[in-house]
Amino acid sequence: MKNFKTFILDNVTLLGLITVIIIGALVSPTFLSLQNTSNLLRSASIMGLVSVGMTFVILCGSIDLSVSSVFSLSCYFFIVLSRYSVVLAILVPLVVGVVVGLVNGFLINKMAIPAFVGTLATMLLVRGLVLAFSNNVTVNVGTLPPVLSFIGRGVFLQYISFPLILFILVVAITSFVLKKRFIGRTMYIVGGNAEAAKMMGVSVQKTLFTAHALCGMMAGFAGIIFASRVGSSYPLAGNGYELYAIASVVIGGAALTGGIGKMTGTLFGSLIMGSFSNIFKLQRFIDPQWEFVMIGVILLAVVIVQSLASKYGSVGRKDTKDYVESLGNS
Amino acid sequence: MSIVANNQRFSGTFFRKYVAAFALLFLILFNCLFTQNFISWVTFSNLSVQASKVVLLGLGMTLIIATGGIDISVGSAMGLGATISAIFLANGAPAGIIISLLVVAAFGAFSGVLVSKFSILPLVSTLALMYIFRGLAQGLSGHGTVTYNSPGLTTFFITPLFGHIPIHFVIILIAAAIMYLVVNRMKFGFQVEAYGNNPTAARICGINTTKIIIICYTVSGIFAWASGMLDMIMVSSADPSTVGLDMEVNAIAAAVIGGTPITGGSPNVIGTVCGAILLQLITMMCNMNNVPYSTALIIKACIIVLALFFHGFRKK
Repeated sequence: MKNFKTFILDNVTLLGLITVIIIGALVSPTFLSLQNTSNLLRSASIMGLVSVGMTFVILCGSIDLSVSSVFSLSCYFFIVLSRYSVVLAILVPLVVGVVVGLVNGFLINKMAIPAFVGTLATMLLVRGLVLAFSNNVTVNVGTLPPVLSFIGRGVFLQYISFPLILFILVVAITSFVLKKRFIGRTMYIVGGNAEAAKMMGVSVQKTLFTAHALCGMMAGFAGIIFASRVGSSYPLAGNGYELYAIASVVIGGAALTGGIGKMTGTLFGSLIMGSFSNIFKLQRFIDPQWEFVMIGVILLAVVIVQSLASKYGSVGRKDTKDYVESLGNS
Repeated sequence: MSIVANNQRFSGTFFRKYVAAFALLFLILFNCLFTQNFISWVTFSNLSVQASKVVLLGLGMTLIIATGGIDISVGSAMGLGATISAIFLANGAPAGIIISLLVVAAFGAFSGVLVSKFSILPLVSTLALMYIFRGLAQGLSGHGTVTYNSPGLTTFFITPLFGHIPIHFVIILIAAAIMYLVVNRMKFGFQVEAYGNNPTAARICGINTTKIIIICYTVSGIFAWASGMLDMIMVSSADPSTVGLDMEVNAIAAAVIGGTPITGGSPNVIGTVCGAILLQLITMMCNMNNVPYSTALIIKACIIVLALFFHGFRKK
């Protein structure tokens, strides 16, 4: 019985995903069709990549609101540079993401500005840059080179899209890094207890810099895939993605206070968000305008349940505890 | 950390408290000397009309930031309040304005409950509410702008008092005076400050912290509503997608420039008012000199960062 309970608690996100899929199948007959599933997984992968980056930041107990602007800036650079060079079109957006992440890290670490205002300022700054570069119009360059358009549109076996493969790869790698590598473990410690991390000789600043740079890079990466899929860039691209990303991470079981969370949780979280948003487009009962309302409500509901759960026991700082114990054993 | 620790230059408490006021005075003097036609009732009136919205939002934000929280839903709350009121006015039911006030205030109280009762990070709960408000406004209005016809209301607000003094300026003064008294002369203000400095200590001292937080977020909601009303009345319509868009950033910037510590602590009402007017003055200067919106955004971001840096608040 106890095993059953821990199984449920450990896999609550997976159960949520199954529930959402059942709801989707009930609401619309096309939901489970192969074509729709393929589309769903493709758009979920794009938003999922932003969420992967957000997971690092949230694990460290920080937050990043600038991902949506970085996303659209990266779209812009990808589209504009696609005319000149394939390598630059892929590299520059990633570098831009890293740079914005480092700026965030600088504001938070060196200038001691709390993450939520610091990244709010970078969000404005980057959005200003996007508007300034693109003159507030949609940028369109006709057909993309085949290599570049493959990033967003490529499919294997008719239904397995290339973005999905990239997403799974990124989740696998980052999951490994978080579990087994030094930098991943330090993120848990910094998020769990920054003071203790400092005493253990972990560089809090370095960890935060890394997390924010990775988050910016992931947002840039997602922007590349999105731009490649759509074939153009508009200044409002990625609007609201910070909400999607934070919701996915939180639904995946991460705690916003930091120190708790898993990359696989984020994977399921983004699949849930993707399915949800897909169901919303398929159904005919509610006006699609209400989508953001529903996502906001879901985020609030999950956060409230989490807070109640932590108040009344059951969920502990499992990962941190495990790590501290494993240190003691070795 | 060394950069932050080395802020001896700004240690004078008086200067630090009124740095926004000094900056505002400097900017006004600068404009008087160098901008043509700056000294006129028209400029004054324009400035008051535009600044009044930011001042109102900023006053609410000051309270919340003083508790160590943040409310990024105020811009959308403006939009929600304005849209609901406009819908009622369009259907010939002015009493509906009260309903919109109640709705927005209730949502404010709700975010207060989320923050205090469920101890959810203010950023996350208000982020969710930001999108909920915006979606609600868009969903309720159907599709697009809600216009109404009520010339009396608009005339009342654009007619200057005593021939010259714009009514928005009076609103700024009254709101600021009330908030100043509440914060600096009443028990409530000291409780907010105590909570902002150390929530645990405040609770141990017997302050009903839940109540304080809920009141702060409700007041912020009410200010957002009032600000939305000012926006709606000036144009006799409300566009659910644009009313109050990005206004939360202005409000946060005003409070931060004003010198309210972002990590919680003593609210600085006069500073916020000066900060809001300062921001609006900068926006006006940008407009007068044909600086595009994008550059104005970048300038604003830099101002926020610089203000945070020069006030030198440490992370707790």
